[in-house]
Amino acid sequence: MAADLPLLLAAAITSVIGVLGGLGGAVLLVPALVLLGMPVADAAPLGLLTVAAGSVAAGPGHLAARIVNHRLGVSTEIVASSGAVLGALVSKLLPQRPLVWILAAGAAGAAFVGGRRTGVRNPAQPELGPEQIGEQIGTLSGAYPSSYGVAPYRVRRVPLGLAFMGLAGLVSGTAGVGGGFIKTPVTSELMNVPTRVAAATTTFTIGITSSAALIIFALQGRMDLRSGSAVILGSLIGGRLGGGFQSRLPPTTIRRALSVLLLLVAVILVTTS
Amino acid sequence: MSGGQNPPTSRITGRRQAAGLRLATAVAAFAAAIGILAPDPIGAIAGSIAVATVIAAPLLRVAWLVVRWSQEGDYRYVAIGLGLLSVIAAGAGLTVASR
Repeated sequence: MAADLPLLLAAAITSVIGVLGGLGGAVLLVPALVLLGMPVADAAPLGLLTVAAGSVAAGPGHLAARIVNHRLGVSTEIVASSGAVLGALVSKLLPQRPLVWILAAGAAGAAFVGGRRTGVRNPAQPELGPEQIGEQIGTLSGAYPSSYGVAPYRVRRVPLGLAFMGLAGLVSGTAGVGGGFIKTPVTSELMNVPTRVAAATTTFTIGITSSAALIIFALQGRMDLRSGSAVILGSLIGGRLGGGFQSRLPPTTIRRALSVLLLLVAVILVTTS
Repeated sequence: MSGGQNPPTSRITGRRQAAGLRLATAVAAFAAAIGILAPDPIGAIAGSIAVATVIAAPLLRVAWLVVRWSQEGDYRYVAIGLGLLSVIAAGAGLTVASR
């Protein structure tokens, strides 16, 4: 138990931060474990476990707030999971360093775009009532409860967004991270989805991406059950806390926190590659 | 959005989904705690249950959404959901085949 405690605490802390920004905790946990001396091959499945557990724990809070767009999530996820399965199958063949540098540049770029944006992109419409909150049947659009009332949104640039989701999935399968640090800024800044909806929807989808890759890791016998138990327990606690905070914070605060986190991710990626 | 020109808003509230996720969280947390504290083989079995629960929960969530979308008559997204589950099943099948 004493040996598992640092792992449990690390998973809890990274999961709170990861769920809050819709990034998943693995992008912080995996580099931390590698820096502590754990081989990447062992850290990757633990990273995916923290993402899956954080996603499960954060789900009830996001569902109660009605800020998950499931149709958008499943549509983007079909591409991301294909990338994750491909990445997990060929993870030992791909060169890691160029991929990591591209990802670091992407994370820094997303931090810049999200951080400099001001104002409300999807304004609330007073004529809309609470019954309009949710997804529209047959489309990717919907409405969400903003601080100023019910705000409708319409998803844009779907093909380009899907291309980035495929890249995020490939990264998940190869590097053992959830890909949320690509998915959330792409969903928010490129596809015009409100930040809270983007973060909650990504938290839902990275759970699926992680499950897809974890099945392969489990079948390959790459799962340490004792370490995995510590990571799961820590991530469930952290995910629950992060999901609760995310539903209460204003979008501007989440967006700024997300920008800071993305810059941190870029630094971590560059320094550990 | 409210004037009838846009498609209707889905009536899925997510209450049952949330209840299922709370149950999965409780089962996984309990099993993970036993997995840390108990010696093998009990610890290993409990750890396996914790891992299986967090892997299965997101996939069962998608399966549940497919059922609810079919009840709403939204067959485009039923097909997309089934496609997603098929991709994941194919990945598992490829792994088993390549062992």
